[in-house]
Amino acid sequence: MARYFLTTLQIEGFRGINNEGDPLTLQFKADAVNSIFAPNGLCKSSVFEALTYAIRGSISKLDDLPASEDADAYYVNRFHSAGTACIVLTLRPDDGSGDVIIRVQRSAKGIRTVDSPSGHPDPEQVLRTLDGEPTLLDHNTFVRFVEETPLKRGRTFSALLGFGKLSELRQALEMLAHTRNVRTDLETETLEYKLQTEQRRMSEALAEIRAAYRDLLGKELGTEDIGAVGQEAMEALHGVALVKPFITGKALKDIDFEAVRGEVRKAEWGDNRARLSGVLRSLQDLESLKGSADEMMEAEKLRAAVGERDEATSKTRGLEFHRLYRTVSEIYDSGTWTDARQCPACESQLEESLPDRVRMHLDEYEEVGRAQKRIQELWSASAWVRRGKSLEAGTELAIPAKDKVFARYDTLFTRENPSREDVANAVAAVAKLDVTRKHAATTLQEERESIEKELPPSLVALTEQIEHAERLKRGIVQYETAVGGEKKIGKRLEKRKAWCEFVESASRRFAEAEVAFSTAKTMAIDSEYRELYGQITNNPDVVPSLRKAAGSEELHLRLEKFFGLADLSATTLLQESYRNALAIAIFLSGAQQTQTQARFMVLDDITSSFDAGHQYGLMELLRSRVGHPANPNGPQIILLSHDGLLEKYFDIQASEGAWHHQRLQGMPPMGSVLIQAQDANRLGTEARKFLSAGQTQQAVPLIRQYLEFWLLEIIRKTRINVPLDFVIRDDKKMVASCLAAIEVSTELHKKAGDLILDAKQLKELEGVYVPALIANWVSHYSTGVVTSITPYVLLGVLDTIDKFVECFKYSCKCKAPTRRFYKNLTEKACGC
Amino acid sequence: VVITHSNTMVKSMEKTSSKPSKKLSFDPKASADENIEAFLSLMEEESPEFGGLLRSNLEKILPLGEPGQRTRARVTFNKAVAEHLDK
Repeated sequence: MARYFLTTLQIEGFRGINNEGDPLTLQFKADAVNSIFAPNGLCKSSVFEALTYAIRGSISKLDDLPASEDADAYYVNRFHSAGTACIVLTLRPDDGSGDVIIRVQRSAKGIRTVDSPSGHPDPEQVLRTLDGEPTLLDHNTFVRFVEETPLKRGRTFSALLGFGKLSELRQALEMLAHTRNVRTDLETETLEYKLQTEQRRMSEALAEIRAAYRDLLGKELGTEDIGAVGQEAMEALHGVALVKPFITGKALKDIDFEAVRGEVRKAEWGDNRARLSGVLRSLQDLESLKGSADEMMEAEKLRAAVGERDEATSKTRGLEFHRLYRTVSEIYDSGTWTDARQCPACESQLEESLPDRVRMHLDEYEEVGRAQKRIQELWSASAWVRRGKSLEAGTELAIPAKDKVFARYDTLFTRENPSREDVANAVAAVAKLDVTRKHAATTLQEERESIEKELPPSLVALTEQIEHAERLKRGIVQYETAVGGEKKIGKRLEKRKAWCEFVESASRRFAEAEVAFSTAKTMAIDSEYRELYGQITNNPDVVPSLRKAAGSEELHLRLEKFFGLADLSATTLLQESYRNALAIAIFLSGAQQTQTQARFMVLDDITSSFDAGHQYGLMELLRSRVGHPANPNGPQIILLSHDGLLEKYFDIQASEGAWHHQRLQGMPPMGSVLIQAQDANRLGTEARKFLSAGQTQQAVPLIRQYLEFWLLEIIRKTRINVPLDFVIRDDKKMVASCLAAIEVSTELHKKAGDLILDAKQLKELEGVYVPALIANWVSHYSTGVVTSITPYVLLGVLDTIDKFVECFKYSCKCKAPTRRFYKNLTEKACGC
Repeated sequence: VVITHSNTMVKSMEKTSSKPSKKLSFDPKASADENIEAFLSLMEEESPEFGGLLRSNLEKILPLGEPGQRTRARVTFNKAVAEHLDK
């Protein structure tokens, strides 16, 4: 897929750049390093911000302002009469296809629109693909990278190497697949309890059906086909003439047994029969409230859950701290405090991330909540609890209100904090009710036998048949309800468990792939960033090392070597320029691994903390190793700078082919910002313009730059030997030192008799130009009184400089006639 | 760069799924978005319903916020998943 070079940037009405009706147009070369120099206040930052806004849609500096500052009102230039901004990018694909032109506009109302005059169907998407960590870099990016927490640094690092989004998705998937999280959110435990409850109800209903079947038909149930059981019961009832009219044409569950009882009541022995019917129903109820062996297990589970809750509670620090942790968490969530390593209350520095620590504590409280919920669920779903409540509430045992305890236990176990002792007391209460149940059942059985003795056997049998049939009906209805519930809950649970498996599998596979990917990417820059760092700092005694734990986002900056010591903290030991050099080395090496669609890097003011030596090291690195075209696959470098020392370097490079330099000038923010293609002649032309207008003060620094440039150019082009400190110290490259070096070399070759300069050149050099430069410039400049010299004298200095340079050139006729520098002070550069 | 693997991660990586599944690997020449798309497509291929559910709800959890925000995003995500699964 093609990547894009940036070839033109047009700006009107944005930030400090007004340029109403005449947009600032910056041309960039794809096959050169590009530099833009601007003195302070000449909108260098506005250029960077225009690109940032075009690509990212906002400027973080404005985003971070409080709402009261009304940041939205400061994107558009305040002096632009239409109050609109327009930024046009021309992008050249590196596969040779046609240019893509994208226009980003911002209306007076702050509305952003994007279109493509070249006809690209989706210019917004193109802008999104340009965005990446290495596309737009400024000094603050590097400072932040070093100073921020290992976690944030690690995230920036991941984004830089192109796996930030992958790392983020891995964490998201891990969070979703986390067993406890997903079970809590999807309530699988609750559904499991509900399923168990329905299954137990099925089991209980089946036991009821078996017992009623046995009593009604005098045989054991041989099938679990509930439909057939109902049919069999109906056939038995059909034999009873008295009830036949009530059951004909109906299913068992549709029979109105109360109506049947009413009919029987009309017959003889009505009162005793009715009493027998009541006794039988009470006996059945008491029978159904007998306990089972499972109850002990249920009670034990509840006791264990209370123990787990107690253990989880013991790890917490009480309600006051819970409030504290929640408050701290809210402070970070709201964004009012963002430094994870500084306490928002006492502002002390911390070793570890405070939000992470607070999250850990809040998790402990959440664990208590989960344990408490489990207690509630176990209590509500336990058969023995339900049995205790039914026994206590039923009329058979006639428990006095003052002795009833389960309403209180209900409150205790579902809303309060029950203890293990409370569990034991509840179990004991059920056991006590069981004793009463047995006693009541014995009494009822005795009453039943007594009534049966008084009633004719046929009526006894009829009454019993009706009660057994109704019990069977009740059992069948309960069974079918429980089956329906079990099926529904089972289906929900099965689906949710399948999702859990799916997301766990997705998370695991993604993590494996991401670890392999990020490890390979990270290892790929290992030697590169070290070499780049070494080239910038030129100090072999300090060797950096990056530490990243697989699966963790944190990235630690360490020093593998520090003047003989090993494994020390880089952030605490390295000076600012070294730290920035390390950050820059990491970003530059990372940029070469990144696959955003931007084939360009915009570097704004990245040398702020560097001395001349480091600046030079970095510029040379960009020119000869990182940037295109020296690096065939490297990015197009676009440098923005206001560093005067660097401008000399830019001037020199601009006279070579693979460097394109421009300078901003003008009168922002009201007037226009203009661009001036930069080479040394520009300095001379500008200086002459100022002098012609009598503006000596403005011309002086340009003359100095012009003279320094040409003296250095003579030394470089003709390979004049210079002292060692001249080479390594930028402050030595002053006019006087340059003139001295040129004079010494010229004198040496003159005495050796091999000087290539012709007699006229030598005569004028020694007799006119050097003395003139010393008299009219060097002696005055060193005392700071140049501005008192008349413009005419300074115009003469400019002419002298030009003539001085000509002394080191000859007429070459190899191709088109041209003035060319000698190869050195003893020979020409060609055969002319 | 020193890469260290925690024991938990090694164990997690050693754990294998009960069902045979295609191996997922990311293309170093592709963008992050393209690699994520490849992952989501693979998941949809293996389970159209769950894969689609994951894709359509990812925006609820990404980009990841700070810890408290993450918890809320996770709960929102799982709530949407649960509602879909119950349909």
